[in-house]
Amino acid sequence: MTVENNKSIDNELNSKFKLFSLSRVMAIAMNTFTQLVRMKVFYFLLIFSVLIIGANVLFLNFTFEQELKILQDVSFGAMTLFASIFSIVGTALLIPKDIEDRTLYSILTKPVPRFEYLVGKLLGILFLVAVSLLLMSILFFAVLFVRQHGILAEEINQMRGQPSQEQISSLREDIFAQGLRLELINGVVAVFLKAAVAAAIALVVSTFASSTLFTIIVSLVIYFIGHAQSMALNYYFPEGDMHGALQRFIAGIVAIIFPNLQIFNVVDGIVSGQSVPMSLMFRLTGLTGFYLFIYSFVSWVIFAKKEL
Amino acid sequence: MILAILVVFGFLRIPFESQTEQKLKDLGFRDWVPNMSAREQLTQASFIGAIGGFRSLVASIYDLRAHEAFRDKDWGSVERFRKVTTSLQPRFAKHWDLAAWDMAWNAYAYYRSKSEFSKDDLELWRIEKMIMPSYLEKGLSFAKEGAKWTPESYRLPMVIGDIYSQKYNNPKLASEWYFKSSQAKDAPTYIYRAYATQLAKCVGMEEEAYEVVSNLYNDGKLRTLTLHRDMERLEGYLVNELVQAKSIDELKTMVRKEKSKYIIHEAIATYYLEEENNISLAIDAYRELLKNPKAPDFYRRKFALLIAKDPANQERAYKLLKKMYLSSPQIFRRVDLIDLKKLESELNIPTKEKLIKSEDSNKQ
Repeated sequence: MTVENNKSIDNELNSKFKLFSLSRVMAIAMNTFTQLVRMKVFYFLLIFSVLIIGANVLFLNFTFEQELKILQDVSFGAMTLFASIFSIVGTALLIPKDIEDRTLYSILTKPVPRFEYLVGKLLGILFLVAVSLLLMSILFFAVLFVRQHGILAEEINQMRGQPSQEQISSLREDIFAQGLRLELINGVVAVFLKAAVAAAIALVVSTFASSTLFTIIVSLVIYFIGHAQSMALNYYFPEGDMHGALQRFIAGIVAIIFPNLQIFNVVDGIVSGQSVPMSLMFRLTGLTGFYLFIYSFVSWVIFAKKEL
Repeated sequence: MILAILVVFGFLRIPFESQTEQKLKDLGFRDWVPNMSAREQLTQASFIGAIGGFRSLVASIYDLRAHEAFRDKDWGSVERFRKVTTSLQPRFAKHWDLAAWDMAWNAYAYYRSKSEFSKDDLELWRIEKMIMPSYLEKGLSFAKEGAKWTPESYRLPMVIGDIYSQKYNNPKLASEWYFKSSQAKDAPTYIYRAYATQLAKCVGMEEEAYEVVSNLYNDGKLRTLTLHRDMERLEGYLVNELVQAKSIDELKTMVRKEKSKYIIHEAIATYYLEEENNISLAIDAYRELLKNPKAPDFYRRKFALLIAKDPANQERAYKLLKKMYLSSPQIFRRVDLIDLKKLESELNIPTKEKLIKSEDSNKQ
């Protein structure tokens, strides 16, 4: 009777159990997000504020093009740096911390597949990076908006006599073309996509790493190679000038194994005033999705065999 | 197995990434290539920053270094840093603009002022014949290279126009570049006026210049002092051409056929004044001219100064001139102010009521 009962309960549970449950993944993701927020990571916003306000105040004696460009460069630079550090360090901390706190065991003893655990952790990190970038963007756009109006007022004041409406509108057009514009959102999205790939790399490394430090260092090295690989190939073999079989083999291995993070670098062009078509942004988003899927899968393959 | 997954994934993504890279290249996002010369120009940290996604930030840092070198009057470093900023972000027009400005204006002016204090003839020769022209060339070369990189922007062609007009005193080349600049979508209207001004200075291109200048003048949106002067000078040139090429009968026939062309009346008046010294016939020609609503304001001034030559009409002429001077002083050239001052003396106008104070006639 008891055995039969147990079997029927097992059957019932098995029939209800889904191989992949979004709600379980979201629960883990939200938990990860909360866990990271409690680590007081948002204090970085203070540093970011100081940076952009400093960039705004220190370069007042330059031309408006230089001033607005420096503000955008510093902001995007800080956003890229913070987002990448969050992604790599945050991901590197998660699994060791869960093992240390024994949280991992209590999760995995429940009917939660390891793949869901990993995806949940990755999503939690991505939420954190997205929220951080959103907050930084709001601050950055607000400062840029205030500054471009300030510059316009200053430039009008400096004009001799009463400027005509035509002069004012031409000046406004010139200043605003360098200031707050929709194109900057594409820059922020590109920063997020690159950070997402960096987090996925760190996730793969953290599944076989022996320590957090090892994960961080290896992930940073891959992050750097990811930026340099396409350029290094151009640098050492201009115009595809690879004669030897060994050279071709090494170049091929580097290109195949390591991610190409340089592809996400569109911010430099955006700051110069170039625009990114939406089709290109979709391509980059699709590529990021592809990277996330493959790296999560690789992480699962390693993590599934790991003895805990 | 993991390696196999990564290799398969690598083979799948590489064609897609290559296509995306090509698109980025076509859109101008991959203008900077980290080759040997780039590595030599940048410090190691800057080079790593530039390939690590901070190219724009590195360019801004070098922009600041160039500014610092400019304050120290270290023109060699200014040139070196400007080369770095322009090579890192060649599509940012302001980098080229500043590079050209530092070379053709700042460095040039620095050596010009240095030459003024130089007592050594050899040193003076070296500065004037070698250093100053070389900085002008460098400025021009930055601006021309920048114009190639930013064909959609008005800025660099305008800078080239500025260099040709202000430094080389070459109105023909200046007008060509200003015209090119004025055709850009974002070009402010003053660039077309600069084109007209330079074209008006080109010897042998007066008719072409007159067409451009008169269109601007008749457009009437903004009649600057230069535009007034150019219009008057070019019309004067065309009138002289007419007077030299045609007889008075031919001019009279022309005026009957082309009533709207007030310039022929001016040619007739000039003929009577210069060939026959007949003021009253010249005044009649001006009266006809002033009936034309298209005739520029300066003909009223000419007419009033002409009638002032007759002592009987001097008071009437003075009243007219006074009214004109108060409403549109821009139509009075320096030479006209001298005539007006003479007229005031002849009419014994009290000093307080005089329109032209002695310093005014010198200023214009």
